[in-house]
Amino acid sequence: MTTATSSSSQRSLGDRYSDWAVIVVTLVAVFLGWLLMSNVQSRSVPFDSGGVKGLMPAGWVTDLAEAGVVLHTSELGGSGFSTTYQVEVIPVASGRLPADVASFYSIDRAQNLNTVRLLDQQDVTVNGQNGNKVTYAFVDADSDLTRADVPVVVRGVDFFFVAGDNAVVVTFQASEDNYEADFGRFRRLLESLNF
Amino acid sequence: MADQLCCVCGKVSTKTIGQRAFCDEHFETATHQRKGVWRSVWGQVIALVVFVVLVYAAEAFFKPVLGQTALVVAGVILAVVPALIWLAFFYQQDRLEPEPKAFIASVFVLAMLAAAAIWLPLAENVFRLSKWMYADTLTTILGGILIVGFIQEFLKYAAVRYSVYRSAEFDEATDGIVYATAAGLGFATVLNIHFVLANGGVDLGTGVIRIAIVSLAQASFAGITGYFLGRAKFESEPLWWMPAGLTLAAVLNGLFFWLRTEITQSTVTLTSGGSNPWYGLALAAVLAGGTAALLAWLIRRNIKSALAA
Repeated sequence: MTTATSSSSQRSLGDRYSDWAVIVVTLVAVFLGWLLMSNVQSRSVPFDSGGVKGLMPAGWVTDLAEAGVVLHTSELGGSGFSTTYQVEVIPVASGRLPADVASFYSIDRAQNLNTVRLLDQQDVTVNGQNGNKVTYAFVDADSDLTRADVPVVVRGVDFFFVAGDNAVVVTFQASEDNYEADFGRFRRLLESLNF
Repeated sequence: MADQLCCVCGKVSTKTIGQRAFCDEHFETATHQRKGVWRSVWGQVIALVVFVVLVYAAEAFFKPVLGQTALVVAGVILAVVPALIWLAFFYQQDRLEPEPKAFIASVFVLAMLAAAAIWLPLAENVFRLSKWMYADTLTTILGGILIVGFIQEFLKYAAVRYSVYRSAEFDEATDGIVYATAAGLGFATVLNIHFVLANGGVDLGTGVIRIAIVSLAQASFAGITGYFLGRAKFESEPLWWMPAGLTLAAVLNGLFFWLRTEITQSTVTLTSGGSNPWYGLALAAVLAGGTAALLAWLIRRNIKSALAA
C-alpha cells in the first residue's frame, strides 16, 4: 500500500524555525541599536565656567552671549525649537530662599515673554541641595523673519539653588513633543552640577 | 513506500529539488527561466532615470512657480510614479504567466501599512533617529544597519512571508523577488509621501531625484530578501539561511544610505552649493541594476544545478 506523506513531516530545522530565527536576529539587532542610541545620547563632556562644574551633552552648540550665563547649550540639527540647557549665576542678597529667587525670576520672564504660562512651582532637593523648581510653557515666536515655520509650544523648567551670595538657575527648554524624551539627559546634567 | 507531496500544491510528487518534492507542473514552474522579471527591473531602472531627467529638465526650463498645496500634490504624484513604472513594465513583460494583480497589490499595500503604522512611528517617536544617528560616521553606519536596515527589511520580509508566501501562486523561486520588490516599492512610496508632506512639498527637480533613489534602493534591498525567501520555499535550506538573507539586506540598506550621504555631499564654497544629488541617483541605479544582475545570475545557476541533479 502506498501512503502519501506531506512534505511538512520531513521539514528541516531551517523550515521549522526559520521564521523564529529571523525574528530573534531582528530583535537582537534592534536591541544592539537601542544600546548604541543610549550610548550616543549619554555621551557628555565636562565644563567648568563661572564657578560651576558639570557635564554637558557632547556635540551640542554652546554660546555665552548673556551676562551671568555660564552655560548655554543647544542640540544640533532638526527643525523647530532646539532643546536647550542653560546654567546662569545671578547675585542675590544673602538670606534669600530659592523660592524667592524663583518668584523674581519668573516675574522677570513674564515681562519679557508675553505668552508664558506658569504651570507649577514647588520646593525640591537635588543631590542633597535644597532648591525650588518652576515649570512653565510659552510660545516660541522669535523675531527671525526668515523662519517660515509655525511657532511651537515650548515647555521649560527652572531649578533654583542658592549658594552664598549667588543663585544658580538651571534651565531646560524643549518643544512640547521632545520635552519628556529630553528630560532624562537634562537630569544627568542637573545631577552632575557642582558649585 | 510513502509518496511525498508537492511543496506547492500538495499533489503526489514526482521530482525533487534540494530535498523539496514537486509535482510535474510545479517542477516545470520552479525550473522556469523567467526573463520578463529581469527585463522589468532593468526597464524600471532605465525608465526611472529617464523620468527623473525629464522632470528635472522641465523644472529647469519652465521654472514653474507653484504654491505649497500644488507642491505637495505634485510631490505625492511623483512619489507614486516609481511603483507605477515598475508595475507597467512588470505586467508588460510578464503577461504570459502574470502574478495575480490582487496578490501584488496586497503585498504592496501591506508594506505601505507597515511603513506608515510601524516604521515611521518607530523612527520618529521611539528611536528619534535624527537626534543622534548622525553624531559620527560609525554611529551613522551602525545605526543605519541595526535599526534602519533590520527594521525596514524585516517589515518588507513580513509583508511577503505572512501573506502570499504559502499560497499556490508563489510557485517559483523568482516569485520571492517579484513580491518582495512590490513590498519594497510600497514601503518606498510611503517614505516618499511622508518626506513630501513633512517638508510641505518638495522642489520638483531635487525631489524627484530623492524619490527615485529611495524607490530603487528599497526595491533592491527587498529583492535580496526575496531571493532568500524564494530559495527557502523551494529548496530545503539550513536554519541560518533566511536570517543571513535579511542581515545581508539590512547591511546593504545601512551602508547605502551612509554612502549616499557621503557622495552627495560636496565641499561648500563661496560659489557652489553643498550637495550633488545626481551622484546618489547614479549609486542607486548601479545598486538596482547590479542587484538585479546578481540575482538573475544566481537564479539561473540554481535552475541549472536543479535540472542537472
